Amino acid sequence: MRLKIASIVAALVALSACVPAATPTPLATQSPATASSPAPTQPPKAAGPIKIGVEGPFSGQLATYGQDFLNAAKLAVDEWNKKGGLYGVQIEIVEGDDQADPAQAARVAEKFVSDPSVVGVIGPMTSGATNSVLPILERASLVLITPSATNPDLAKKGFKTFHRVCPTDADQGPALANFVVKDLGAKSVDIVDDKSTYAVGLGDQVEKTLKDLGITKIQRYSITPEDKDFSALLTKVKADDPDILFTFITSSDQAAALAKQKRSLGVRATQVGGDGLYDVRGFIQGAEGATEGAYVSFIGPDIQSVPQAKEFVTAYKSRFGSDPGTFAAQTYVALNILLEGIKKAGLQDGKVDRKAVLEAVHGTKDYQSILGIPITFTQEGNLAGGTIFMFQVKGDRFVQVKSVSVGSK
Amino acid sequence: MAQIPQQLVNGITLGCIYGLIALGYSMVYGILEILNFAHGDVFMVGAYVGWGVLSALLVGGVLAAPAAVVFALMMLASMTVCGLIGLAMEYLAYRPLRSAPRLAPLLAALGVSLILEYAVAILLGTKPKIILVEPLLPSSLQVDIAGTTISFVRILIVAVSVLLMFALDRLVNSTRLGRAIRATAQDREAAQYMGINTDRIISLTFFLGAILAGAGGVLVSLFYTQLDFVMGWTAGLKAFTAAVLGGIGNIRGAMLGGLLLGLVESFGMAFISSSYRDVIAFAILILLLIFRPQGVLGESLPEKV
Repeated sequence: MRLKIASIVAALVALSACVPAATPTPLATQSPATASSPAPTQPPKAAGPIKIGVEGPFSGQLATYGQDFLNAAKLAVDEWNKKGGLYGVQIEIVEGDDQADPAQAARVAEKFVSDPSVVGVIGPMTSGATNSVLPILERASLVLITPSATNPDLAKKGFKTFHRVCPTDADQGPALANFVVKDLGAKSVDIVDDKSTYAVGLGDQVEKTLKDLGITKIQRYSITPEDKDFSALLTKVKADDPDILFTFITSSDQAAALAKQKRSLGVRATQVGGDGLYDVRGFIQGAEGATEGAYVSFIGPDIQSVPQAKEFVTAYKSRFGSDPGTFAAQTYVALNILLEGIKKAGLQDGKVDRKAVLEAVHGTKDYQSILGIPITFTQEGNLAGGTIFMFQVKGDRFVQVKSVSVGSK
Repeated sequence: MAQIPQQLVNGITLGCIYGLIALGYSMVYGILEILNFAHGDVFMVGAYVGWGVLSALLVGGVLAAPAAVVFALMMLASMTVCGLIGLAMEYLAYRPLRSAPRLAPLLAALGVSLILEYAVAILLGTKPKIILVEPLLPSSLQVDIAGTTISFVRILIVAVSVLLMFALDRLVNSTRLGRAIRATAQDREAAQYMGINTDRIISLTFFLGAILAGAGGVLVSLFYTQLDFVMGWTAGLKAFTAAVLGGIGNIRGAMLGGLLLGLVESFGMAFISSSYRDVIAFAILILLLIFRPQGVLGESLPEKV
């Protein structure tokens, strides 16, 4: 008996080590367009297809964000294709589903690199995945523009391929900390993260600024993305009785579930989250009123309120039947910048050269985006300038309560 | 210190759920000496069935029937579907392997587990499902005793689990059928000679375990308000730990093990570290296997069921 159970447990431990929480989904690749007949006419024409790698969590826990991501990318590419594509060929999207898992992200990146017609990558969505694809893309000089990876360290590793169209958590963190202390008058703060690169990084930034502001009552806790029962944690929070409960959680569904349990335990603290929770479906509708009055920060404006984005919002709604989701506008902007870059790079022997695209994208200056701000990349690939916005949940929507402009880093 | 009563409430709620799932593990192990690792996934399917019924009866944010009726329907549908899965699983995956080496049914269990998980993933997608519980169990339904909050869903979980566990305990210990189950667990061959249809008893054991898992799935989904297709894996491992903790094969042991594990996890999170919940649970499992493999209530040669 002793031996039997022991051997079974040994087998079990070995198995659980190799059964991942979710199995990788094969990459969905669009079939290459049939080679168009050569037409030796005026403008230069590409010899082969031109492909853009789009990487994000298209399945799994963050699938809702991933779908918004993909929708916005398709919208941008289709607009270009309607105008004739680039160099006489239609632009194709190669989908790479990374499920926000760094290991899966690396496989996706290898796939992009090994296809010579992929000349640029949009994504990944999460900081953890971005961190793992960067060294792979760097080797192939394949440019990357992430719409939403906010971890500050990503830009500090010397990778030339790295670019982002969002401010970083080195700005978002202090903005959040300043907001809760100066605007909400917080004296004590609990911080919960989900152990992801993004959440831990943002938590660190917030904690640092809070300490600089003289807040001493700070408690930090972690959950995992699989957790569903937060009662023990929230009971601790209730005992701490902080003014503010930061929930740096990537998935708004999970943050909403936490909010519901927080309500059922009678925890007084005001919930505050980062950019990942700027999601109406998950954080407001999914929470069934439990997030009323909560605050979230976001790395861009309420896209519905930006005049330049009107056309984008209408087109998105009519095509996909819903408002553009969390990072949709950022994705659309990133894709347009990449395509402008490819256009600027020109052809070499009928081919688009990855290095030329990288240089053209890196040189982007004052690109007029639908985010309402001109986009220029810094030497490190960060967005120069940018604004962090604060929103509060009121009824069924986010209401902007503050905006903080950031200096370029 | 102020959090002790609340953590006690948390631990008991969690423990009842673990106990409910652990029973299925324990009964199947008691009778066949196999670990049915697909059991956690039966629980997951149960949660999805409950979600399906609730979503179907939720028209425009309003329940189509009184809350009690909706809850009863959720339980009934989930327990029926899970019971059938339990029967099918035993008949298709385990019965053909009954005389095979011990590793074969274990691998079959993992196969069934993956089949259930990915059937749900393919049919319903990999994105977690959010359960809108507010119309069924309004958050205002809760009592507050000196800072300790007990929501109605917790009372429901404890009440339903205790009721089901009590019913099972009665069934096994004081009915003819129960005697047949115990006899089969003790010595299958001898039971057969006594005229017991052991195949049917084994099927029944799987059925009973699966309907308890189904009930657990519904209760958990109302509490967690979020479902995903891999939730059965961890839940199954925890329930297995609970079953071993109590003495695998022992019904009252499984209940006690569940309760102990729930309490240890809650207090471990409160007083040791919030992020090492699973570490605490599995450390207990390992220590137990080294020092007391027969569990708290188990004897060296237990009369298993």
